[in-house]
Amino acid sequence: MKTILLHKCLIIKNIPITNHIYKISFKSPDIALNSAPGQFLQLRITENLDPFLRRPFSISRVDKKRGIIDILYKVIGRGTELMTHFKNNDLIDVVGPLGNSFTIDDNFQEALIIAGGIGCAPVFYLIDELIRKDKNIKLIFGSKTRKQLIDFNEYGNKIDVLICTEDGSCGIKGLVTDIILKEIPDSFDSVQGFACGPNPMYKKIHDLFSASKSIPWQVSMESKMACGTGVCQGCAIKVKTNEYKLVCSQGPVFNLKDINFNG
Amino acid sequence: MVDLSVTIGSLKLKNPLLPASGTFGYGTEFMKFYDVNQYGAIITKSLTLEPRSGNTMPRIAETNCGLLNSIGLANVGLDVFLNETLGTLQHITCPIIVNIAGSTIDEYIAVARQLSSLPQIKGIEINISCPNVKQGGMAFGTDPGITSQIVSSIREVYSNTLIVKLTPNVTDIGIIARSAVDAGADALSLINTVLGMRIDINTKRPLLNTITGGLSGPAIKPIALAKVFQVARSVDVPIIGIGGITSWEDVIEFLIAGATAVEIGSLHFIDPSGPQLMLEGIKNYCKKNSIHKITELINSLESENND
Repeated sequence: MKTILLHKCLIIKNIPITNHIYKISFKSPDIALNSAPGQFLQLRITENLDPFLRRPFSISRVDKKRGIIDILYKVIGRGTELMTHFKNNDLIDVVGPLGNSFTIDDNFQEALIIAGGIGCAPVFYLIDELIRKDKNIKLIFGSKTRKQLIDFNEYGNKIDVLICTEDGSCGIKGLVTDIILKEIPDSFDSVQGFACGPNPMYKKIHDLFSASKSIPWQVSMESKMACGTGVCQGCAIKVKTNEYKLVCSQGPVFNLKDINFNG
Repeated sequence: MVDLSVTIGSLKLKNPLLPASGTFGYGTEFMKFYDVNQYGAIITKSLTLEPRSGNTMPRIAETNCGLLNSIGLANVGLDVFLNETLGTLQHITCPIIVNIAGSTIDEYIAVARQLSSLPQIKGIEINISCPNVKQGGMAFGTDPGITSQIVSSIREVYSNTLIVKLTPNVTDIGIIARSAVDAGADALSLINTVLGMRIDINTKRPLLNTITGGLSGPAIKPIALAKVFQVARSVDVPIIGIGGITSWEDVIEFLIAGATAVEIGSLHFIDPSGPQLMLEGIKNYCKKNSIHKITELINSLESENND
């Protein structure tokens, strides 16, 4: 059956969850059933043509039983500011699910997840899937300050969480990349790394792990995006072969070792 | 029944809607959304002799009611197109028009010659109007002499429908239009993107890697409409209107201004639902206004003041 990609979804919640970060929830049994962690959606912000482009957001979480999708967004510009005015029972125009997804296979038992800031959005969906597949999960989550922390407490002892903040207002002081080497198990044969955050964070992880401990990393890349469907070629990133790959249709999940950070 | 068919060169199109090159890939990407054969014809991404990886990032920047791009004609190149891409176009039953580009006139000729032997390809659109490449592109399309030379050279090796895509970034688009037609163009498509730029005031850096880029979207529609109007009064070949078309009303406007058909561009980036609604709107408008053939609308501007 053809996957349905165009949706008008009923908004059921749109609330701030921390400083400048909102969670919007809407009904879409189709997306809930046919999506996977790492995939994204393109949201239309207005009925008119200004702002012109849709905005891409990772699917943060799905409730497959109730057919509900969560997205996390940070208010950084006019588009996301307008989104804060979305009300319950409004219809939102959604395209997706788009892009590829994280690979969760039998080749690993330990999942190490690194998440930075709003980049952590897809991590909830990822963790839910990892739990379902009985993986052991360690999450290192960092933000600038305590005020921007996102709460992972609901997972209780199902996952091992380590928090850090750049100003030291909560957890360990520093960037997530400052502490990850210490957190890698000595025997890491069956560790799979997942990273969700800004691109500079990936570069740091790349540099750290190319030197010593080498574990495979799947990363969710960010890029300015227009179409989201592979036709405009605006969201290209350079890979090690010096070719460009499109974040929207050949990603957003890439193997970190393939990314060319010098391009 | 409203007859929506139009003729461009030797091509009879079932309706006047086409996707603009570079906003539609090779037609395959949108098959998961709708049947792309709803279009009158398909126009593929610009094809060059050699593969091109395109410009470095950032390649796009949003503007009010529009989009700046500097993709740089990223494409697979002629060999891969012939050996791989063509095979994936089997599902396209409407006419396929290939947009071609190059850094030199010889490159255009080489690509056109190869395409002329392919029965699946019903026409070519010559891109002499891309603002985002250092050689060729807009540099050709702003010079009436080179325009004439390039079009007549391609005309010699290509006998099917030949469309020339024009840039608005000239003093007088009518002069370029006449050069292209005198050199043998069957039709003209216009406008390609308008040269534009944006700057991040905090870093004082341009938002595009190439500093300037091509502006598309509703922001350029009035410019496009005026250029179509101007060219329609300069030449006698069909014109394909392009620029910020997002609704059936826009299509009607372009036809009244003098276009025979239109290309839908950046709308593909925000609305992947296909041309069906637009076609319905056009049909309803025609019914309401007792128009039996869409061609009756072409060049039907009232109270024109030529004085």
